[in-house]
Amino acid sequence: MGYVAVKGGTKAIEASMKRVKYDRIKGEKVLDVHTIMSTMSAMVDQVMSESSLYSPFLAALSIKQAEGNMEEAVFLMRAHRSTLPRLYYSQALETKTMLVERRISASFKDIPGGQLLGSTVDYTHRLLDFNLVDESLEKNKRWLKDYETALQENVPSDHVHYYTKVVEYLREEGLFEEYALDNTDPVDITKESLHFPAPRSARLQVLTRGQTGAVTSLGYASLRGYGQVHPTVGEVRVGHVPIHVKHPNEIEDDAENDYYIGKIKITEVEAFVPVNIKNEDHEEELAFEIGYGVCYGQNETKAIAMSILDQCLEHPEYHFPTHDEEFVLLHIDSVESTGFISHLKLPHYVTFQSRLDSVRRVKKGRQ
Amino acid sequence: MHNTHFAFFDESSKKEIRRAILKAVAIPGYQVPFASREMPIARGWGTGGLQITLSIIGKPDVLKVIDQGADESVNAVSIKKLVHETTGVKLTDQTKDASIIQSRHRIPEVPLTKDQIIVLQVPEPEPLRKVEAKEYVTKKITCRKRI
Repeated sequence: MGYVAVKGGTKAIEASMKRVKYDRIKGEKVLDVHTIMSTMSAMVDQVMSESSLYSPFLAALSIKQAEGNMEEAVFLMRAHRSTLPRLYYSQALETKTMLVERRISASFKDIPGGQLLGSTVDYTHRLLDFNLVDESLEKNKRWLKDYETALQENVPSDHVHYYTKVVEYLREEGLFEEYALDNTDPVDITKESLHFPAPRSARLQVLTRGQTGAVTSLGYASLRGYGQVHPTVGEVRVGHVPIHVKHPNEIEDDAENDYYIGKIKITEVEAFVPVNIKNEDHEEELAFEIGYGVCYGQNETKAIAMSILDQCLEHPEYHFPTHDEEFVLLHIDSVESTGFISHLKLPHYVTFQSRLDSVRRVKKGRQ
Repeated sequence: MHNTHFAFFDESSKKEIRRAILKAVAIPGYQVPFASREMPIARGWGTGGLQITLSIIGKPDVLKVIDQGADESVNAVSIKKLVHETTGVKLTDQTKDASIIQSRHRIPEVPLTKDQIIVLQVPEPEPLRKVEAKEYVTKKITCRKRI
């Protein structure tokens, strides 16, 4: 069998693209982008997080175009991201200033401000709700009205209430070291290629834009036995944080001069991990370190898994793959992994032919 | 033409990639890493070479693309289509007519002139990857060998 190049591919490709469109519209239903935005926020959040592009509208559009295929939606967003000029870096976010919608701690029962459940499916029973098959807009309107009326009994306070970080508890007891602020500029792995050993800022960036499933799997693997990190969730908080940029020509470092450019919704996790440290008298002592997880939108599983992996990578001395930064960081990106796996579908006729040739030659030699 | 910037990328991204190319030309034998951008074509489908092509291409260029040794393989067609749609440049199968040739698996038979640029794609730039999985280690070995 000689080598035959696939020709005439152009027409076949065009026909295949038509087929994609046909399959999407043949059911004669049109899904409005705004419907996706308002009813599929978890998916929108996940797409924004994995594509590192915060835009609910574009994420919803990508979901529509990708027909709900996550890897395809993220791919569309990432490709779009490549076309956008990046003009500014924001000032560092201070999550103490988060407008908290949900904040819980698995480490302390009584935290200042209390456990704020907000919106979570954690305690729902996962039974299919057949009422949703024929959901009525009218009924929903009535429900909303009742809900809002009930809410009016709560008198809003005049001042903005910020929630103290749970880690302050540990600090007060001297169980958590005071670290000096590290104000070195973070590495941006989308502007310079990732090299190893990677600084923590690069690691966190790769983790936060990692594929939810991949980050969760590796975090789970570490927890279950292939790792040395056993965290307690100190705090999960979900809410909006304001973003500011510095005036490009302003020399003075005055936060008052910064521009507010909008807010983003994030999930932030601080996991408390017990570690043995040596005190001044060289005695072993128990202390805590923090595994940090953060991602766009509400995606608590991913943020918790990220906090485990962050802590794993801070301790590379353990010989588990989850503690190996190249193993973790080079394999969790959605676009990289799905792209490389799917390239196997491309014609490899020449590559395979050359492999076949050498196998044949070896066989001939043996006879 | 698509409703994107000329040659898809924003200008500062193109400039960054061109800087890496200049460095590579200036330091023979050194592989210059650059931050790979996500492309509208999947990673592993020739996107490394595509980024080089897009960062150097201009309106008067004429492009030839070879993949799996042929101009008409499905992927070569797809790469050409993307470049054409985002730049409007002329495409060709003829080596002598091309100013930029992006290729995988085949070096054109016709000798090139100094006005022509060949962009050669490889699936894995590190020749030691099959022997050693860790980037940190191969980088060290490669340095030692080259000094």
